[in-house]
Amino acid sequence: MKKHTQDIYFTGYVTVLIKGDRPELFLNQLVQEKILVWDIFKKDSQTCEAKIRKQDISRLRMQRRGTGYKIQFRSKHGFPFLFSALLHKKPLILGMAFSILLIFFLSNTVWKIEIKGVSPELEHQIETKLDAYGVRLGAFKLTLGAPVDIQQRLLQDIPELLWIGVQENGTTYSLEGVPKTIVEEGEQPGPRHLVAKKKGVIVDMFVSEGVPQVNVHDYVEPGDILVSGMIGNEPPPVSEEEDKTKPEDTRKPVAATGSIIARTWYNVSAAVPLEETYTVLSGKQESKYAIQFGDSFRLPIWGFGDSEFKDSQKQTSVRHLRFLRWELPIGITKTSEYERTTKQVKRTKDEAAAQAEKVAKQDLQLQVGAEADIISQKILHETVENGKVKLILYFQVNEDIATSQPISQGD
Amino acid sequence: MKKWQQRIGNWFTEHLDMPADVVLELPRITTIGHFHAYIENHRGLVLFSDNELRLRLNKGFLRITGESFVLKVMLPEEILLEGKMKEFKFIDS
Repeated sequence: MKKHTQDIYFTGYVTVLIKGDRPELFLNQLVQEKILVWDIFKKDSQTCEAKIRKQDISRLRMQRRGTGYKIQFRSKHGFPFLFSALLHKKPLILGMAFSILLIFFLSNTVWKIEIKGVSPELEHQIETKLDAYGVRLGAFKLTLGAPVDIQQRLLQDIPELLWIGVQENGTTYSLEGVPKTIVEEGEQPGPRHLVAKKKGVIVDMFVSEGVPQVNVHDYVEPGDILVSGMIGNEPPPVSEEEDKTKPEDTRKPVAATGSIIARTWYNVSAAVPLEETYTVLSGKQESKYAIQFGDSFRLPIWGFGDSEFKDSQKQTSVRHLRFLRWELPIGITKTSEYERTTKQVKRTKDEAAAQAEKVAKQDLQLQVGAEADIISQKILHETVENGKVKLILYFQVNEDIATSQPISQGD
Repeated sequence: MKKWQQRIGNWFTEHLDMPADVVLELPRITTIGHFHAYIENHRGLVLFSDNELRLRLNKGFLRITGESFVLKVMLPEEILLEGKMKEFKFIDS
């Protein structure tokens, strides 16, 4: 029963006085017309007080027509009346709108910039750069780029920075930097041997500490000791009978250092197609801005119409507005469109082979490191199949094959 | 015709345990203490004042007397009466 009147506060209701002869009969008539009436009581023989819903008022008036009853509205209750009463207080509404706007602006303002992990000089440098980008106290955050962009630009502009993390926590920007430091000599390495990590023929050696165990032109296998970390003579082998006077081991372990350059060999295969299509970005770009509501609805505000690019790549970034600590479902999206062109390359067999050779060489250089020299190269095998030129190449490389192996002490 | 219907109705209530108010279209009156009365299946309000409520029923009238009556809810066939009730009286017409 109560369910009819439970949500009544939100739709609004009024108290009415019904005057006339036997007013309850008029109420009875209303009820027959499915108008909800409640809290009825009789004030005197000519008057009834009752409550009806706001949406039934017009029907009440229609029912009254032609009858001799008189209706008086006494009081209004419920949210709709409260709301309209509120609307009439203009200064209040104005003040509320203004304060919401103010909070909104303050929520989207940079209040604090924290820089951690860097020296004061570098910190100052970062601060000046940030200021140049517009990231300063009191700046409006929507006009600033995304944290990732700030990070990219900082890394580009300050060469002393190895890495910087830019985090946006509400109204605070937290930056954590890692400066590039000249790597100081690490800890003194422990006693060790130098052993070969690849097979090869030694062409040159330079030993600053330790006893060389190999010579130039020697062939070594991986794991062979190149420079021993044990200085001193090995004790002569003693027979078991004279065991009592064991000669003392005079050897001393050191950290063997040096570089052993050896000639090594590699077989590398590379394939290059005779015909190739690939896409490149031409560099032309268009940006569009839109206000985004919710997840999908976008209202363009800058940059209309379709772009004239035939083929393009799109990139969209969204910056949400904030209110206090919440992210609003309203944001500004920037859509960048980059023109893309398709290029087709046709190569002759020789060109493809030359290309394959180049690719193979680059691959190998990456594999062996920049310090290694590629001495010579030779094409072992060349085939054309499935529209590709496939090469198997043989390379000779001079590289440092020494790697350290700690000497375990105690035995 | 009416008599015949009533006989069937009586038979239903007696042999099938069907509620009498549903089958015979009689009013159902629920009271809580002396301050709430809930009347269903009435046929319209005839008189209402501070100390009296008169309802039309299928046959006759129902007259409730008491003090400080308020109709908390009023629907076409249901009424919730609040107040201090003293007497329930069925009046044949």
